[in-house]
Amino acid sequence: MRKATLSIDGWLAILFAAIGGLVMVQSIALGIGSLSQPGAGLFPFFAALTILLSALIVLGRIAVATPSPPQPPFAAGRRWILFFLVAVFALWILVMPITGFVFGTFICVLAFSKLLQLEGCVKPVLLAAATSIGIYLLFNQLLQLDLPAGPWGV
Amino acid sequence: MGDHLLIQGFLNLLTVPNLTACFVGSFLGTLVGVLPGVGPAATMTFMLPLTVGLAPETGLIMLTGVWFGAQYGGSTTSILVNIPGEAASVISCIDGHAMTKNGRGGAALAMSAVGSFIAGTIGIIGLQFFAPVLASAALSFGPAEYLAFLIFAFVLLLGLAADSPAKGLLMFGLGMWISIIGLSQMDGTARFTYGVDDLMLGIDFVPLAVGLFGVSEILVVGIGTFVPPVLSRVSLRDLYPTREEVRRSVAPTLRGSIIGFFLGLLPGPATILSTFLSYTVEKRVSKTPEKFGTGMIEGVVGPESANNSAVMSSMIPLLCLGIPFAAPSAIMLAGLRMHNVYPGPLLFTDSPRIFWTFIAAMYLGNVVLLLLNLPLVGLFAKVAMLRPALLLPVVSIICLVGTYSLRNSMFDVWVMIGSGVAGLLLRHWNYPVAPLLIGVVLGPMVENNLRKTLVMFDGSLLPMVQRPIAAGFIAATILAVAGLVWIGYRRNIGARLAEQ
Repeated sequence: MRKATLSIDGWLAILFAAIGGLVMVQSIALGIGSLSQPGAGLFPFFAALTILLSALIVLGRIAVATPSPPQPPFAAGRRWILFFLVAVFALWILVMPITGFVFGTFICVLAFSKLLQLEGCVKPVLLAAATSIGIYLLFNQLLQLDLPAGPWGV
Repeated sequence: MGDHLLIQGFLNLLTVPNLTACFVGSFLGTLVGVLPGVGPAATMTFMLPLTVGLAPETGLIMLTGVWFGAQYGGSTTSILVNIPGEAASVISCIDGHAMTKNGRGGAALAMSAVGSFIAGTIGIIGLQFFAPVLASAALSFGPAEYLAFLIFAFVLLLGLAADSPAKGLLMFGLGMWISIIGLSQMDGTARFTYGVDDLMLGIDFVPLAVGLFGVSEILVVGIGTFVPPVLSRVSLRDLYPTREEVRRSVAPTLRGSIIGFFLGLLPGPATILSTFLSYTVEKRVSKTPEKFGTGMIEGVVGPESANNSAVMSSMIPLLCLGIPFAAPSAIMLAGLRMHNVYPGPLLFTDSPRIFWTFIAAMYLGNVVLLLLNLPLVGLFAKVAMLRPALLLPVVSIICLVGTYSLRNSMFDVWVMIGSGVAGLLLRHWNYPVAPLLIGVVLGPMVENNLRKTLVMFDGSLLPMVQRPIAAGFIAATILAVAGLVWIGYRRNIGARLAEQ
């Protein structure tokens, strides 16, 4: 007898079906109105119905498909990089308003390049300095866009 | 009238900022486009933020250059390194790289650049003549016609683009839901904002596009292992094709241009389909089909021409109806909207200056790319060898700054990061992200036309069939669904037989 286990793909379909169901309920709360006088919830209801039905079809197809060996999510041993790359993106958001654009960007590019295994110290520092100053000059000076300034005015 | 306006478009183009934008856009587009695996959609999202601070015309010209450059760049690595820069260049690997192995890589690059230039020019001429005609026809479209057309386009898109139509439909539904978030344009009702002030204005399309295509690409490359490709050296002298190679390239270029132009008008991955169809046609009409795969120039020039022609004609539905049929056109639409240019039938009457400058920029961009690609082919090929550790940090910061600069909003940057992670996961589990993006773009348009049609016909959609244009689209939709079901049925039977 086949063991009833669900792949991540299946769980994802369940998640989408749940989102569809939830949005349907909220759409009804918004007011569907009538077909001749559509309310604010009518179109979201149709969108949610599309999500729900197609998620159920995906789930059904997964259920009847021949089970395949579980796919390892991304290269083994490199998954942690994903977490840290996202963390550096988040760091940029949190640090930039405090330190200003140039210094915040310098720190983040340095972290990015070390995460991506750029060897030594000189290359990452040079890359970080060139990127932060270059992009500041391009966006702030040339394109005249507002970028947060830190205690040093840049 | 058209000629006069086109000349005016060229005159608008001839300013220092516009010419610079055209050169810089084409150069940067090619530079990023040559990176293995980075397609035009990702390249455009990387470059989109750079146009934020530019004047609308200049920004538009730069984006056009980036799009063209990304298309051209993809073929370089296919031919020299056997790694396609994008999906539409996969087919060029077969004979292109075989030509490199035979010592004719330079000629393959030169002829594919010339073929792309000719096909691009044919595509622009087609666009220049067909777009205003289609736009004036579209002026007679009411909400019912638009709704019927949107349904027809989406059915085709699902059938042609997605491996799993159900997953494509799911993503489209999700995109439509995302497009609804915020204050309703109809009655000001706050929908799905959950008390978050930033959501009142809705989720902007640009951070979403940059996240889904740009950031997810950064994450994919970041977690992957970099293997430096083996590069074949090409000098300027090697670029000269023989007289025989030129002679053999003429007909495939023309055939590819025609195939690409007509396929580009269809929803879905027209550029990719056109390259495969062109290769098949070239093989079929060849007197020596058995030699395909061993370095036949027809197998390089035909698909490359088809690819470029399809790019041009895919602009027709975007400019005439404001409807993008593929991810790069959806990102182009985001760029246009970012600069307050709203494509649609009224673009030609309300903003002729923008339209004709855009057409002039396409002509110039095509020439610039030919001029850049041949002498700088060595440089572009070397870029493909650069380590991600040098490129990704720079590209990441451009995405972050550009997204922030749109509305000076950190919320947009969070949306970009979130959609980047979501894009990575969705791609990993084979959920196509292009329908999601197209859903976000088309959502408000579908809602608007659905509501108007329902109100107009007192709650029933049946009277749509009494309107000839809408009825035509409905009939085409039914035929398309029947065709797709039949193809799926045949495929299932084939798979079952193969299993047995």
